[in-house]
Amino acid sequence: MINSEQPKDYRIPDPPGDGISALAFSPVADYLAVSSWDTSVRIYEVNAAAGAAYGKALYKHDGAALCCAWSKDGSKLVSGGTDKAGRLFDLATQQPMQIAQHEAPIKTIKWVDNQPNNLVCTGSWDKTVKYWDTRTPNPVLSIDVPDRVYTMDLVSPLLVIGTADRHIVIYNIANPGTPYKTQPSPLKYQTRVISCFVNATGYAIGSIEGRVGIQYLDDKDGHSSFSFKCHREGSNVYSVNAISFHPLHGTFSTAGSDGTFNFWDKDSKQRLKGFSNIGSPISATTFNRNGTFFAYAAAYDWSKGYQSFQQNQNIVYLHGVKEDDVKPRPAKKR
Amino acid sequence: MGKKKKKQVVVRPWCWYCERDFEDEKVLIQHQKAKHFKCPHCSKKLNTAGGMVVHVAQVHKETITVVPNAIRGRESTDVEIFGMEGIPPEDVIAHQASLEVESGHVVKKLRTDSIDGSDLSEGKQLTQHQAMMQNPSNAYSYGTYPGYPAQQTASLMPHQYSQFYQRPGVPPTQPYSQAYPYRPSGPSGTPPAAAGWRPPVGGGPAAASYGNMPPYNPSGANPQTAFNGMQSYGRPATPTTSVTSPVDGTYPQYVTTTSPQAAYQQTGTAMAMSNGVGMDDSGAAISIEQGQSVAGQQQQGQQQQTQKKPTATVLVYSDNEVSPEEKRASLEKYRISFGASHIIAPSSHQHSRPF
Repeated sequence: MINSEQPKDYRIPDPPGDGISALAFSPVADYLAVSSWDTSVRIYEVNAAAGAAYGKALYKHDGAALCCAWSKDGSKLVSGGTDKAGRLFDLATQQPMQIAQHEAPIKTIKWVDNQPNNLVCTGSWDKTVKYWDTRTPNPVLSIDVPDRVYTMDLVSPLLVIGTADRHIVIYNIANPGTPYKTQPSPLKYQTRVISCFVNATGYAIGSIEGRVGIQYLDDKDGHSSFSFKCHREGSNVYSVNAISFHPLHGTFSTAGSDGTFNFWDKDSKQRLKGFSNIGSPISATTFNRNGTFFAYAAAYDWSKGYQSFQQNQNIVYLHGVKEDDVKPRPAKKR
Repeated sequence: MGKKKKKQVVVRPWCWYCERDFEDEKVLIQHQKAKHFKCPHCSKKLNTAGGMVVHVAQVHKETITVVPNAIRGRESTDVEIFGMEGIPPEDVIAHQASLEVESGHVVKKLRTDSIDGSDLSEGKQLTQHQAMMQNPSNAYSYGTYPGYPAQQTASLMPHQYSQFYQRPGVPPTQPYSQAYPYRPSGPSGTPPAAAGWRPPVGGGPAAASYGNMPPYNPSGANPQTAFNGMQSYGRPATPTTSVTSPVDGTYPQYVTTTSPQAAYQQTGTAMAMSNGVGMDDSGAAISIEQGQSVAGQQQQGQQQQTQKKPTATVLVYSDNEVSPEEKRASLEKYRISFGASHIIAPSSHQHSRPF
């Protein structure tokens, strides 16, 4: 962590008291949801004009909250945690309720937003992915996956699940019972994060070995799949913790244990912008709905075990995104 | 053997910027115009790097400081290159030396004569060769090597040289087999020289262990290895290994120095893959590894073996089996409302310590 300096980006006040596991911006408003290892899920309202943010709501799991996701209409937030429960928070009633149950902690949760009855999809370390109608206690569907679910992303109709032991299972959400494709990860190390392209034609995958793979679904585009190294400093290779796609431009960010984040253009295979080390691992990132804000969480990601655990490093930064930093660029003439 | 003699190394016209060689100088010039002297803004092809700089400055009002697609260390627009003209003489020599190696002139013989099989890659043999050629006086010291008579030291050097030019099929003479005092068997049975030279493959926890030899650590010694955040996938610089006198009559010490010459010689074969050199904050090209697909993994593994990494990489989080979140969740303080071990213990996880 040399060259680290406090970023100039806005720090959201009243942050969680422990590590930040996930960030999610509402698709309709400037509401930022933050799930934390302190069991809380917090919702902040970000006032872009005033350049301020304040806490709006908070509810708790019985264990660490590991993930959160907004419904498409922005009226509900779901989250999952080590209490093996999926919870739904209704902004109108301000009441959380349990909607999902697994045998092991729920690592990732998504809304299946093209379904009329608001399905929620949860991925757990119990090696299953379950679909839940938020109004009934039993899962609509439970599918077994090869190993513990580490990451999952859903951009209709594409659902990509990344598990331990480098398995990738891809579903077409219109046919949730049968995998569209099962494949090993294109990367040689543990899968950390998967993020689907905004146009659902493929996904980006990050591993613990400072590497990102860009994978296209269509076989005829198979040749265009590639991977590249990032988040390395000297001989140290850091984990890629978060990949977020810009909702409009389709460019994406990567952030890692090294405390840096970058914006990339996969089509021209260029790094659009790199940012300096913030002095702490970045555990989660997200763009807001129109890509004007980029939120990133400076929080310990356990990459160096318990020894490096410091309770005080839990900050959510809001970065005002410069249009030029995320706009796709034409490929360099070679 | 007449045929052998014919196999003289012919230096084909080659491009200083990317170490590619061509059938004809005309083709080379075409290549340079298309690859290195093309205006990045309007694709106009200029004749020289200087011409491109002036064009970009006048027409596009921008400054350009690096030659596109040039290998690291040769991006300068100040060097006036046209075809084969203007190449710095030291690079000409380096290129010739690399050709000799690639043509198998030196390598094959070394390989057949190699004591411990042939686990030395071309680059290692080359650098070993160079170390001797450049520095014959202090390259090896034999006096104190156990079992080796000191009075033979003077006559040893010719043997050392002759091994490189020995014809295949001619069995090595007896003193020759002792002409490897720099590679005695270590206590572990592994040749320490190999342990000292070979970078760990694939990183991982084992990366920190180099046996009982001084660690191989060329990090930062060569500007060519200083990649900016991302590492180019091209074959990186190869350190020259030279050997100094034995310490306390035991094993010799291995000293690695980096030689830009060696680095250049390595780049030729790998340039096609390392397009992403010369990166800065914005507009940095991603260096691509098309071989990263599943099918290509084996190939990549092989590459990693024969290829020296600029630095031995260390995974900061190295447990490939269990995610950091699972470890964290197994911590006492997070077992909030459950009994112990509500986390499924992954069966494949052989590490006993939780963190």
